[in-house]
Amino acid sequence: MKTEALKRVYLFQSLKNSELELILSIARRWKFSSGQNVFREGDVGDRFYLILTGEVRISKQVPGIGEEALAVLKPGDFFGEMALIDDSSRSADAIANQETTLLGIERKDFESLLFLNKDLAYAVLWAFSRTLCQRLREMNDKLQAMLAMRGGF
Amino acid sequence: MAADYKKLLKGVYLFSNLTGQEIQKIATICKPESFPRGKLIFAEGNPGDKLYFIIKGSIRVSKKIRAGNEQVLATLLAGEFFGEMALIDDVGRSADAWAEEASELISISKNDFATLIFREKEIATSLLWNIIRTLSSRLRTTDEKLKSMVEFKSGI
Repeated sequence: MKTEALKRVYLFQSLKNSELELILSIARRWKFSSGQNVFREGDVGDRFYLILTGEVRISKQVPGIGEEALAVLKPGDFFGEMALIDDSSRSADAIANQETTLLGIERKDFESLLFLNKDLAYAVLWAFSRTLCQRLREMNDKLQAMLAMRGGF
Repeated sequence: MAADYKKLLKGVYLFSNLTGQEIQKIATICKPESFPRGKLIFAEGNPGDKLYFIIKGSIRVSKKIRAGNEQVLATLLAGEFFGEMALIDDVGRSADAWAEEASELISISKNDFATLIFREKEIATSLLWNIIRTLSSRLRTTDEKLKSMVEFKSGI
């Protein structure tokens, strides 16, 4: 059941069942009660999360306005994957919307696993590169569009 | 010849965790290229067939906004690389690359790169980690640029 959930994550899409089992072997379950913070904006991130049950809301505190919800994530959704590659700080709050169970993977465990399993590393890192490329292209296009608009003022 | 490359490749961030032997393998698929100042290396939309490393000089990566107007995304210096995106996802070049000054580059063709990293999983893993870290930092820079523009706009 959990391997099925992992398979929906783009990073793990092309993995064989035996490889998904390896990923599961470094994953830990985390339980959160309703309203509890999974992490806060600005925290240093070192863990990736996949939602098994419950809901997580991603939001930002806007000065003078309060909480602005950016997204509500459901079982099978995941967040915080950038924490698997570097020390970036969390860009928003993540809060359990109800009783929630998450599967968490820590960066140091992820790195050691990939170090020991080169075929697994190859598949996961390619998928990661492709996604980052795609995001960078989208963002560059957005930047271009905004600049073109601003020029028209 | 390959020995010269080996020395140069050691200074390239992408290869920073490779062993001497691994760098030797990379050196066999490298080609030197030089560009005079102001020369276009590739244009947005071109099919991407090569990855470039800067040995000397500097490269300006930019996007056209409208006729005669461009937005600089990055200025890259010796030790840095560019053109990796087209090798990864098969979409065309995402921006223009210009030689900001007379520049010495080393190029690796897409086919050679793909073959090498398919055969050499150890090398592949190191390279992919470094590529991912570079993409992630470029992503963050672009994100900050975008955010500052949104703030600028809403401030009008």
